[in-house]
Amino acid sequence: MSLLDSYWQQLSLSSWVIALSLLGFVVGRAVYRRSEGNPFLHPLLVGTPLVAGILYLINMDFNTYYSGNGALNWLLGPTTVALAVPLAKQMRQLPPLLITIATTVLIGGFFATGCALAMALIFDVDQIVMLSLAAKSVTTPIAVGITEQLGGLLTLIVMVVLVTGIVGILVAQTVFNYTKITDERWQGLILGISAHAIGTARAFEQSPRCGAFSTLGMGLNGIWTSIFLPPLMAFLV
Amino acid sequence: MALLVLLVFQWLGEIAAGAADIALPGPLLGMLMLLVLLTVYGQPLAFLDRSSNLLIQHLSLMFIPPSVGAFFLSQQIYQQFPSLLTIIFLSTVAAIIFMALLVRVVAGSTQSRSDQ
Repeated sequence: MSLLDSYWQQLSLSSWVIALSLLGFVVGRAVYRRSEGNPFLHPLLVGTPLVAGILYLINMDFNTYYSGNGALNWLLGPTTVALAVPLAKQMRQLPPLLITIATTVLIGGFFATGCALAMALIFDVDQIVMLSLAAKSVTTPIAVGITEQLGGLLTLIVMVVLVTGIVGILVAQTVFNYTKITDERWQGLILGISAHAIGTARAFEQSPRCGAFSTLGMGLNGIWTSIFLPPLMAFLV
Repeated sequence: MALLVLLVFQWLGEIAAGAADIALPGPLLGMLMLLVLLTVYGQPLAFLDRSSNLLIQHLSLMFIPPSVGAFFLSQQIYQQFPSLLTIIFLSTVAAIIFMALLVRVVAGSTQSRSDQ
């Protein structure tokens, strides 16, 4: 009886903490849409403080909230697999431009991560912080998988990835102007590699073609980073 | 049905990751397998498209629980936030500049070769 009671309690608790996350998402998305895609009003930047504020107000500890949201975490697995669907549609862009795309993804993707790790060493941050920022240029579902494997903090990497994306779209156009990158295929590719899904959303605002290359850059860099990062971290840490 | 397909690939990916003892997340390997299959097949599958889009559009919802955790970290980590933000900013800008120059070199040279 008591077992059944506690089970029921857990079930009802989980449905309402999921509702709390849903509230954060719905409010965040509404604000973001109303702002016409202002990167500083990204759904997570609005929804997350809202949920955190409510948790503080009702004095609920984070672990209770987080474990109650197990169903949402569970969805992350199939959603990571689902990334194959948009990526597969862009694979036909690959063969004719293979050299440029492969070079940019392999060298550029490695540089993006290596640069962050080198700076982490220079700034002498804690090892746990370094493990939690290593996957910063990768789209969040993949970054979460990699960070879990590295032993970093999932609560940190999600924010790190988000900030990376925002910085990326804020500075990309200026860099493209100065370096005279006018071809929107390369603009998209670079946005996808450096600013993952946030860059890809921005690329689609520019044109479907730019978005397609961004999807390609994001997907390929996610795969590539998850291959080179674990051995690189084993070497560094 | 589409969710079932995705879960089967995730499961296959997890089995492969366990069996081959490679340090890749199972769902990522599952994504790779599905990617290969879809690329070889060459045509979009409508039922898979719809569900995948639905899931991908709700990614932000799935990230709310872990990102709320950013408000419940230890003092030790908060003290490193200025360094962390500086690292993110500088390395992201550096990466974009680096890739822009790289693309110019690589795309420029392949371009002139095809012009000849």
